Amino acid sequence: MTLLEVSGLHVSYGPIDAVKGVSLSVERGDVVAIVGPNGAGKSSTMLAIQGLVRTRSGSVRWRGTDITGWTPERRARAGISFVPESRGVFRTLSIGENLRLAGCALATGADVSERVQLALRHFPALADRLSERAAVLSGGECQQLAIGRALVAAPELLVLDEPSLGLAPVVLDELFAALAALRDEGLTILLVEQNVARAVKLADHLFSLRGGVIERVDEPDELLRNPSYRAKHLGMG
Amino acid sequence: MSAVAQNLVNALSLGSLYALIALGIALLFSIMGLINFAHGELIMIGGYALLWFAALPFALAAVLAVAVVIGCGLAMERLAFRSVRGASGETLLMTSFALSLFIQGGVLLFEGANPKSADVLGSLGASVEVAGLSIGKLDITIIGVTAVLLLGLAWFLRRTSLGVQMRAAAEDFRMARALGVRANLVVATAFGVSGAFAAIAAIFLVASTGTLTPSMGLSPVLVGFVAIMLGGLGRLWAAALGAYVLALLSVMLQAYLPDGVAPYRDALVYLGIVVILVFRPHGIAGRPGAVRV
Repeated sequence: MTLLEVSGLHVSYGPIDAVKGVSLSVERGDVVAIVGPNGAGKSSTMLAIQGLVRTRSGSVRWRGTDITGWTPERRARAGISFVPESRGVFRTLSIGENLRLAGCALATGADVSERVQLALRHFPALADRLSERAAVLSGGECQQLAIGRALVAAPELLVLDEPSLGLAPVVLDELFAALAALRDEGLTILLVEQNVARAVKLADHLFSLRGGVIERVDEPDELLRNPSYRAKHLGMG
Repeated sequence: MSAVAQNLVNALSLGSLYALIALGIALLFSIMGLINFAHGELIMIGGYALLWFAALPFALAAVLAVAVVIGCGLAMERLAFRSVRGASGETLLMTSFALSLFIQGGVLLFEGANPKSADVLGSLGASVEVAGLSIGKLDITIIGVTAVLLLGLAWFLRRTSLGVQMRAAAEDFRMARALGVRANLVVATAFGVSGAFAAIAAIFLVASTGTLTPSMGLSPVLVGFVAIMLGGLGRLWAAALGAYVLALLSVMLQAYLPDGVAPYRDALVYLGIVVILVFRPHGIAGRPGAVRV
């Protein structure tokens, strides 16, 4: 079943065209990674999917329904959870408040505390620090909180923009282990990632974005078997 | 000694009134970056509403006045500010200016320009003796009610889900929406609370002055802005702090300036504020770039 379908997406900032006709779809249970250089339009595509930038043309469909005109909060309630490049952690709120906040995307009457406990199972280090201010967290902990918070909303699709940005290698290992665990639980994930080697290992499909258009679509298994690609992009001989 | 204490009580009472006004403005600024000039008109409408319901028992009239002003605040949001939400601060400011003039004009049309007198809370005109001080019952009421409202607001923002959503929206509105926070609900709640504070400030203001004019909202709203700048932009409790400091400056200068200089009290108050802002450009408790609840 196709969860998300983006077709002919255009995003402009004034005279600058950031995204020039991107089409992609995400099937339920898949992990789709978008790779590409800075300025390729990756983040703009993510923001358009969450409704945080206006699309000039094209459409975003969610489970068959056109949601191009929906507000971000309506998309969140429909099951799309977004973790921006900046993590979007509220520094003035406590860690627990950050987590519970995502509960407002749940149906009324849903048990937010139960969802928080479930999310904390993936990031147990946060569990003892719920009353601390989120401002004290390190970069890696912020990312854990941001992803944990996205999970509280019981998402059908987790959208991650550059989750590895600014994280130390040892922290990256933990992060991608957590993402792999979520994938193995059946969560559908769409992520933007500059770290191609990491993305290849996690994703089922790899979209390469350049200059606002999709340059190629690959199956990571094939890439991993292709010696020249391995040497060029993955640093593996 | 007792004179100082007496003045402190007066400053506390005046500061409470200022704090109610400043918080009503600061709440909307922190959530949506709106400097709402029309807040003064909410206060003015609250004053006239007391007059419209003067035949009713005071408690009922007060509740109705608060309800009317909350309704006006919500209508303001829906009719004037929703369509410019997310626009630049200048656009929001001009919108609020236009709205302010529009409402003043409307009330002028129906109520006339002549000041009207209103007897509100006249029963609190007497004073009580507390520890050798003569404290007006009205002052006690203002200080007490404001304290309850400030604590209530703090409780709401800290302990309720909607309050936490409002704090999140104040820090990063877009991200809050991406998490499912309903923008319309949060903004409408802010306008509702702002309206309630304006109405209660109006009750205290009219109880103190006894007069109503269509332009009566201007001076309070300016005082509110000054209190916010003095306390520090972007933190609600700082706005309240600024209000109390402003009132303290004002009352103390009133009491201790020699007769010849007394007419220049307001000039000296603002001179004092300028001096404070020279040393603390972001206000007493403000921090650069910090905008939050």
